[in-house]
Amino acid sequence: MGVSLRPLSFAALLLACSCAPLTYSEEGAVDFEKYGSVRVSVVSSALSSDPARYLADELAATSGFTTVTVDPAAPVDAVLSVNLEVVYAPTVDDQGNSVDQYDGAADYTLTAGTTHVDSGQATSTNTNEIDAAQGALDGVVTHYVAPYRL
Amino acid sequence: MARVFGGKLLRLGLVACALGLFPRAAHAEEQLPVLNQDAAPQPPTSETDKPSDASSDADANAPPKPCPTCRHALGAQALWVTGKFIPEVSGRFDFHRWFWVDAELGLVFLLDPPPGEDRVVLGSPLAAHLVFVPYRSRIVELGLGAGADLHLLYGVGKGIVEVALALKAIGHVWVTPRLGLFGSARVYPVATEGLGLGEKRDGSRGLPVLFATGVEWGFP
Repeated sequence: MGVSLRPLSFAALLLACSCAPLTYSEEGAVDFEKYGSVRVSVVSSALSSDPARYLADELAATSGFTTVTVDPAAPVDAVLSVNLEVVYAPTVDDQGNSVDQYDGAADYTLTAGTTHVDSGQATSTNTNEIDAAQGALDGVVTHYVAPYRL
Repeated sequence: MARVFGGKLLRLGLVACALGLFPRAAHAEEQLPVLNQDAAPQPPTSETDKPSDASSDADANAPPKPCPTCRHALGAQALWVTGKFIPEVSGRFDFHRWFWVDAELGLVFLLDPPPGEDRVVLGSPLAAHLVFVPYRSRIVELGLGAGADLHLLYGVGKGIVEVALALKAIGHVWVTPRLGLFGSARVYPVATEGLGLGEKRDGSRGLPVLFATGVEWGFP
């Protein structure tokens, strides 16, 4: 039972030459070399968790900032001020039952001294208050993700 | 024997291409063959004849299938991307003579990370395409599809999603009534800024066509 390798080789060669480059990239929301260190300040509507600590930890993990702190005395290149609001907004499902829902909104501003660098808003909706708050803060973290080209 | 089989497949592919390019006017009106007729002839034993007769009676009484060659399918495929390994599971929901819906879900592995990069899994591509099927036979199917490709890059950061409008051409060859091979080529005419098909890491241009090949199991 002879198997001709020529068609298989041709197919393999064709596939090897048919690989397309696919690049995921992010340029970065701000110049992270210029604003390498940042202090996080969060003003939040009543929450049991520590949103500033959560945001600082998440930014330290994946953002382009090399240093992230919540210490007001630490010297930094920029300050990230976040106004976090979570409101209870129950909805009604298809059967007419009331469903708990929280809408979180994080308005953020990055400033360097008196210079406005960047600002925006991130929102999230969840059935849990803390998850809604953290979802909105995750949106801020996503905005400041470290530049990549993969 | 393998050479003969390969030759038959090649001829079938050529015939299918020719039919796809020059469809006969009467093709759409033809009675499409039933998938079960693809199966190898059963040995003429009494054990197999009885159930076959019973099912034939049941088939005779049952209303005719609106699409005899339609079959759902579950498969596995790989996207051919430079420097990445992207295996996927794929599903085909075949509900109409002229259309089916493809769904894909996979993982993106980074094979040649840049210096200092230690991530291996970047995320998951997720896709859904509506495919128009101008040509169907028992063995070959050719389609043109459009849909959305989402690249969920949870390995890069929370909530990072790249989205593209995908246009693709797809061909299936059913080696048996249940086992099929398929291949597709797609382009992204519209995509978010962070998704560069045909763009190399150094910014230079490459082939902007994404090929995929796979194997599938059909459910007539």
